[in-house]
Amino acid sequence: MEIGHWTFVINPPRKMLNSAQRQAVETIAGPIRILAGAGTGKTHTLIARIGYLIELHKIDPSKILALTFTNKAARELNERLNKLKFPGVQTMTLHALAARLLRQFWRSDFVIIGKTEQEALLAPLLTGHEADKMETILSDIELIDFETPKSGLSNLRLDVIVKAYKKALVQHNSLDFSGLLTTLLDIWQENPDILEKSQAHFHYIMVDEYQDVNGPQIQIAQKLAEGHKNLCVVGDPDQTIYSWRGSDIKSMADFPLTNHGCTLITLTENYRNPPNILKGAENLIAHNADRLPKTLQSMALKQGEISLWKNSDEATQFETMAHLLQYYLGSHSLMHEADNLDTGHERVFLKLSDIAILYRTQAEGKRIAVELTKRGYPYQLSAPEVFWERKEIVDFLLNLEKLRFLRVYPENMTFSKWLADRIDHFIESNNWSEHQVKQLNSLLNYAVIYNSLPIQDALFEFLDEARTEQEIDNLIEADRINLLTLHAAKGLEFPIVMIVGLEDDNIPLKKSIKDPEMLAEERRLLYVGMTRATKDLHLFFCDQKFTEIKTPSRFLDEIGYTNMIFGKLPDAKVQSIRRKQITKSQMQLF
Amino acid sequence: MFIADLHIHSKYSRACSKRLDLEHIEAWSKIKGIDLVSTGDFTYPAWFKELNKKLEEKEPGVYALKKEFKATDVRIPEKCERNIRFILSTELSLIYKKKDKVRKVHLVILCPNLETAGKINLTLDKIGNIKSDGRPILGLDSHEFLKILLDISPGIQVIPAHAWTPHFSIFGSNSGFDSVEECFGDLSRHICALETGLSSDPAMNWRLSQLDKYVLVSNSDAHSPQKLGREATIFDCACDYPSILNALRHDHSKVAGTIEFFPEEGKYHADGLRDENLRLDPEETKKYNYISPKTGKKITVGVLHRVNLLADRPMGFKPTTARGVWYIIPLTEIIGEVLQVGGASKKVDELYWKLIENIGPEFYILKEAPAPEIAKVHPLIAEGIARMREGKVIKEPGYDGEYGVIKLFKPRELVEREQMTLI
Repeated sequence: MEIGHWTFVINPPRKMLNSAQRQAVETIAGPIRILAGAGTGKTHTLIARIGYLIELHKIDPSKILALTFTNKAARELNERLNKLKFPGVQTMTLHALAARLLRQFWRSDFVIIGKTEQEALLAPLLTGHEADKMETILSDIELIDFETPKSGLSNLRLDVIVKAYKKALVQHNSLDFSGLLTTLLDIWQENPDILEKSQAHFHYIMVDEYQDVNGPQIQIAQKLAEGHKNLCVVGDPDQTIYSWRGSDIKSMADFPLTNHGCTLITLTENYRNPPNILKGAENLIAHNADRLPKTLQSMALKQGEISLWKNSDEATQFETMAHLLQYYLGSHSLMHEADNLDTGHERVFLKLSDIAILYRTQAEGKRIAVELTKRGYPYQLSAPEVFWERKEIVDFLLNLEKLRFLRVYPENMTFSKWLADRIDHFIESNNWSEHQVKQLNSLLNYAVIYNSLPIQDALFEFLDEARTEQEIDNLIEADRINLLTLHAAKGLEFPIVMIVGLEDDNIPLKKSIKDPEMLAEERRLLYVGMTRATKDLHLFFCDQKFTEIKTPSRFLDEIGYTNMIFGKLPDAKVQSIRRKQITKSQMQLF
Repeated sequence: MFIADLHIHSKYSRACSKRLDLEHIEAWSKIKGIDLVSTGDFTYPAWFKELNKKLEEKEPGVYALKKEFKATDVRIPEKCERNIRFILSTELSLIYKKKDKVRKVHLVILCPNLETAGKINLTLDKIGNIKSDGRPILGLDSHEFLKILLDISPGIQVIPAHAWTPHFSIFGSNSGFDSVEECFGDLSRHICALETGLSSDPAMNWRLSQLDKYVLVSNSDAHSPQKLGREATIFDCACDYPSILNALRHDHSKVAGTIEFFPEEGKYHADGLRDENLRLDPEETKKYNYISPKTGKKITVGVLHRVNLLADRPMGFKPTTARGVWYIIPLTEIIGEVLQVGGASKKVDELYWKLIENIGPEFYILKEAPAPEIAKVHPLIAEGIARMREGKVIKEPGYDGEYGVIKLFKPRELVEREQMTLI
């Protein structure tokens, strides 16, 4: 919902905000907790509240602090506020806030380190097999105050490592992300004057995604608001999906307990999802015990369905997905396909980025990417694989390195021709998949520019470029089919959402089933996925995957089979899939 | 003067013959009489590799197949032997939303050299999936796409492909635009040529004054070797990239004209409803209010109708900027009609090769070979070709998915002639 300039927040038409939203906007004093269900206009409300503070109450924007979950969210909020002519509002993550305050009041020159540097500091402190568990040990260190260690090391050993690690950090004048938060709290503890000065910075504090804050983050927010108590927290506990990273699932529930006189507001009018889809999602999440109760109502006038697709195996699942893509997008390049798919329909086709395919694990995502490639669709993976780190590319380059110092190179041959021959030879002497062969062939695009050089010189340049190539040359803005993990989908919305892998050891994950808290989180994860759809939702499950028999996810029953339509492909399509399968299995006999 | 086919596909494009490799493209170009042929599909990794291995640059921006690579299963008659040149070009499919409507447009791009092609490929890889098919699909606005290409090299030329087909074309009724400006915005000045495609001929395009500034080109969009040169463009300049670019961009007089398919043969030329055997011209359709008088069903509208909608000149108008037009019917189709057998039959094949071997490449036979020379091999074919050159053909336009029929002889004529030869 686009709003335009905010003067009419004060004047009519107040119909831009519903009554609960209006209450949230107009309550500016003291602690306030806004329980904002999926699609209830949380950001809309937050922005309106900020606008209200500035327009009506003439608050200096630089005294307003809006804390977001990610840097991207902070940037986007900033952009939207600037567009509405509300510049100067402080938008950042809690980590960024801590860094800023530390640099201002403590030390200006410390270095913030990320995962790579953390691992570099940790490596010399580990012995033997411990080095293999590097990632788990790091995670244990970060969550040491909240979670039981998963690395299998004894508490004593872990203690020793943590002490040595923290010492190394100090030696290098470095702080890691969690260190930013704990150090700030320590500084405030030891220096009340610094705390006061920090508090003086901000008069109104808003924290978004409060359902996913961790202990230190809660403490920082509380302390910052200690004086004026103007702390507004917004979140949806039903969308807590990062408890495995240390977020406190009780953060929203506990807020009124630590903030007396807190105003409680619940936003329940959902503007995003069609009624049938919302109903299924609400049914699902109701199965979580210990929820802060809320029931969402769909205000959307549009129709939309949950379709459930049962597939015998992943290959059939991809065929079904391809069929749906054709249905929504029409044809994408072939004339005769277009004759069949595009003509004679009054249907409005969608664009590529209107479609999102959600999955539980990266491995599933990669398989879907391969299938989309086969059919020609451009896609965007939420965790894109780095071309230069692909196994076949790394192996080939290693091979190529050995050819740096040959005595003789062919003359009268372009470098790209020479490289093409090397690539062919490499392909023949190994067993790469079709997809991998394509990646290898595409190396030539980098090679051609060196054709004016003699082969040996060109080889040097080419290998150097390969070593230093940064994949951070961002993807160019274009429409692509979105491929995302359920986690990455949070906060986004798409007309068409397809969720794959609804089998009982995938959604929910096998290891989460026995732990009631983890199972509840898996349920929330699916709830997040389902509430992304603004038009149609398609759920997929397979009877069999890689020769293992699968059971449909228990969550499907919880959504309610009566809320779903059983997807059925047209007969002609079923037959053609059957024929393809028969041909394939016949070929495997040879 | 040379004949060019600037838009073809390789074996790596969806639904294309596996025999579209460089060797066979070269061989069939010789047989057809094409001098300059597109490489097609240079964005596809395996094909780009082929191009790097097997082509060598002869004149600026045009390449030849290296001597060691020749097709071994096609015998090239002596009269067809020529030097064939390749030019780098490919086709892309753009799908995007503009002004609340999803648009689907195919664009041909000409590229000055392999190095630039490599750069294009690297860039396109950041937009869409160029590793899946010879003709990649990009979710990018045409205007954005053109901008990106101009940033890579000003020598790249974008030509809207088959401009009037109902699907995937710049003026297409289903997902196209009403003008070049609507599609390319402030970069429209970088468009200088339009591809007529099988579904339109220059006469249809001359009806729009907004198209006078574009030079019309025709190409085959071949999905198999035999379809090469189905349509083609005749250039009157040196056969190298800079000269061709100059002809397209600045000096249209250097484009002698195009070799055209009869657009009536297309299956969406006229309006109508196949199931009712109802064929209509655009005026009739309007009179019936787009609904069948018999059944009330919605009439399927064709390319002619679309042109009519956008045209600001009557049928038959010829602008001063018009270039030459030569209508042809593929030789195999002519033979098929004369022998009264299907185009793919053995008899047709035999007579086809007899003509090629004795007279020369197909374009020569269809356009220039003196009638007596053809008559020596087969008099009826000579007569058919003469009629074709004069435009004396019988046309039954296609409509609603039903292919049109172009005939040179009335059925009775063929029967009579056959009987006469028996006497």
